[in-house]
Amino acid sequence: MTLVAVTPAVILLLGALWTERRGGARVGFVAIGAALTAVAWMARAPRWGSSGTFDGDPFSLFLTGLILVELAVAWVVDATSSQSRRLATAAALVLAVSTRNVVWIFLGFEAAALAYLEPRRRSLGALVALVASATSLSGLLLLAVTGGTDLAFLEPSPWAVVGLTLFSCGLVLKWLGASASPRFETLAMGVALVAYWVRLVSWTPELPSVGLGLGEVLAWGGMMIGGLGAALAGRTRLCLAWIGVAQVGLAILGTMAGAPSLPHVLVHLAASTLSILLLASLVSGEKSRAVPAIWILALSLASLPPFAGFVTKFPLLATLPVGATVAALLGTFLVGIGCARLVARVKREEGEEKKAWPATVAALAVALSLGPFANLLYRLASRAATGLF
Amino acid sequence: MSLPTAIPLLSLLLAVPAVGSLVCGLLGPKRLSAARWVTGVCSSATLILTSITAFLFFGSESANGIWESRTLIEMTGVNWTLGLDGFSLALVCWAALASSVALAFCAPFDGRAAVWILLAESMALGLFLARDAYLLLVFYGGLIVAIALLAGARRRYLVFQLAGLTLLFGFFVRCYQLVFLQTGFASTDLLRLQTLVLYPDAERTLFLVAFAGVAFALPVVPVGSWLSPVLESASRQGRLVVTALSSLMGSYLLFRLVLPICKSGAFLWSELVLALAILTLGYGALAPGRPWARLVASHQALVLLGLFSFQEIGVTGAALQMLALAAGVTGLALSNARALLGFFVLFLTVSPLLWVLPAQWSRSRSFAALAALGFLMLSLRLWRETIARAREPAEPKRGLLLAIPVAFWCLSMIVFPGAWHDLLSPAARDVLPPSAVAEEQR
Repeated sequence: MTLVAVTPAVILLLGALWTERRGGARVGFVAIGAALTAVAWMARAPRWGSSGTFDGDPFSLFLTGLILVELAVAWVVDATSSQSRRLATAAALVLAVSTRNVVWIFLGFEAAALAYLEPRRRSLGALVALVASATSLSGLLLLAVTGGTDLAFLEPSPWAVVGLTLFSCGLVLKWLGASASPRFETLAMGVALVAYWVRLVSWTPELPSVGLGLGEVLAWGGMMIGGLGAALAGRTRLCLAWIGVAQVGLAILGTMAGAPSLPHVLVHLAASTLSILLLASLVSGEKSRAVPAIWILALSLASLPPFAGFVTKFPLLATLPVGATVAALLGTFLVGIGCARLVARVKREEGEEKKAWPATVAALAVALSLGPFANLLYRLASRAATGLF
Repeated sequence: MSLPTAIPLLSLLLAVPAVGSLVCGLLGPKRLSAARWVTGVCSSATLILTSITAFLFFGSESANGIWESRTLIEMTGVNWTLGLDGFSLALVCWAALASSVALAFCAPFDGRAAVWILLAESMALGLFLARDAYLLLVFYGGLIVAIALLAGARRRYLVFQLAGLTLLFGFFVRCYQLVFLQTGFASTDLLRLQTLVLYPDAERTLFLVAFAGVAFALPVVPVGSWLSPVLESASRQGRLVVTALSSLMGSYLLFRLVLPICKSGAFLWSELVLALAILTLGYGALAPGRPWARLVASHQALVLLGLFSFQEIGVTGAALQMLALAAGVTGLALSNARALLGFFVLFLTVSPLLWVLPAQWSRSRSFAALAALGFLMLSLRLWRETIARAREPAEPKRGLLLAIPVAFWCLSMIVFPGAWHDLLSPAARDVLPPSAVAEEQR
């Protein structure tokens, strides 16, 4: 086990423990900063070996960095959730994206699910989560008995295929159950799901049918259902939740195309999840004081040039086969309708104009720095994608 | 291709109004006098820079005019490539003039409208100067947003424009894919896209997708219903900018992006396009309700008639018709003084007869005859509406004064047709299919 690779997760867990006992937001900030520093240090240091359960490879580090940045943004803009729980969730998901062992992936998703489950046991969300956990666990047990739990060394057998299918379905179900609300936990879970899918497609050469077959269903279904949901959603937050589903669907569709599309998948994932996170924090009802910021982020999600949604999507779509490109364009248009309805619905809240500019600047920074000025991000993403397929 | 200029004059040209828009936005509604001052300075600076650019262009020995290029996103092959040929110069001059007129039309000064007018000006200048397909779409998207904010447009406008943009996005992605497959590296450069080798079926499909996308922006029947609500909900300034700048964007995309890539595809689909153009003319002439939106849309159909004549004189005429439409309708919106109304309506009535319909007549007499009939009915409608407008109470003198430079612009198109033809014809040749060029040379 490569202990160095789990440093960011350990730092976050320590931060969560401290915050739980003493409270205060500053410690959380320090923990996030320290974890990001650790990621930067590991990215510059020589590889620490890739044979262990946790891998400090550029791919894991990119996604870990993305989750940490999302956590930092959520820490600033959305203070409603329990902060220690949020840090613990981030730690679990960081472990899930750094590993290729399905046990840790399962544990990461389960820990993340605790953050969004409602206290009422009989809610639909709890039921979906329960079914998802049972499905994943049965797949995990089947894999453990028949083919091993390391994705890179799975023994090819019919039972292993069944186990992997069940495990993957359980994860997807868990993510879909979580996606009812656009918040950090669900978006980071989407990132972890894409990470799992990349490893599944690239590291299980003996079992390609599971990753590719299920991936196609998930990608096409995610884009279409997410797009339709976004176009028809009556509430703003529900619309954003569906947009999140469509964006993760598109990212998974990109992973199907293999190595050429992977850098673009990573950049798209970063841009879309950060945009949704910021937008969700700005629109809580029909009125908002940050209307310009809402316009920028919504139009970015609708893939309107020059914002990040367009810049990150066109190279991704160019790597796909023609049929998939058409489907992705249809999904993009449906998401666009949802975004147009969203900006039409939100009205300016009068009287607090002075406070609107930080949100506008943040929105512009995300929409442009991840879009037309995304050279640095593209360099990191192409480095992260090297050697996976 | 000429070497990049030492001073990034073209970038500066579109940066000045963008910076002005940003500064005005930051000043907010409480510092109106400062915002007014900034607006005036930026507008004047843009006009001066446009004049300098025009002098440099006419002094340039290169056939390709002024050019600048820098790498923007290395991994995706996107470059910041701007260029100025005769067609772009005419459009840039018009955008600078029309925006200054729209800004001066603010009485009393409206800070919020000034922000969006300056942004729309910057985006329009970028659109007319871009020589990279990515940049074209970027500035097109920016112009859509600026117009939406200026005109207070909401859901229908955005949904229609997003639908058009999605189709253009698909066209762009497919071309980008093909460039990568054929050359081995990613590029969004327009010159490289124009050298794509396309199979006839693929070219037909590509053209159809792209034209469907552009049809939303033009707009033509049956996807033009967004224009009327936008013009009705907009302030007078918003209406001015929509007619002066937004009316150019669809036909310009067709001119610069779609037709040079899919010349043969356009030739194969020309009958469908002409049929849609004639339907649009007929709809503009006969449909009930307020006519101004449909007058703009219907005159776009005349641009299509010129473009799809596939002759140099017709395509150059289409470029002239674009400018004539923008200038004529802007002039009509500025003042209801009888002399000016008469002049602009006469200009709008005569210009297609000079530049567009004769070229179409020599290609297809049946289409030209139908188009002439539609145009006749449209002109009657236009005259009737103009007479009704002339009977309304006189409007302030400011509009009358501002209409004078626009009238001179229109007059120059009638008095110096040869100079305008020389300016626009090199760009028109890029649009013609190879067989048509050979025919012209013969």
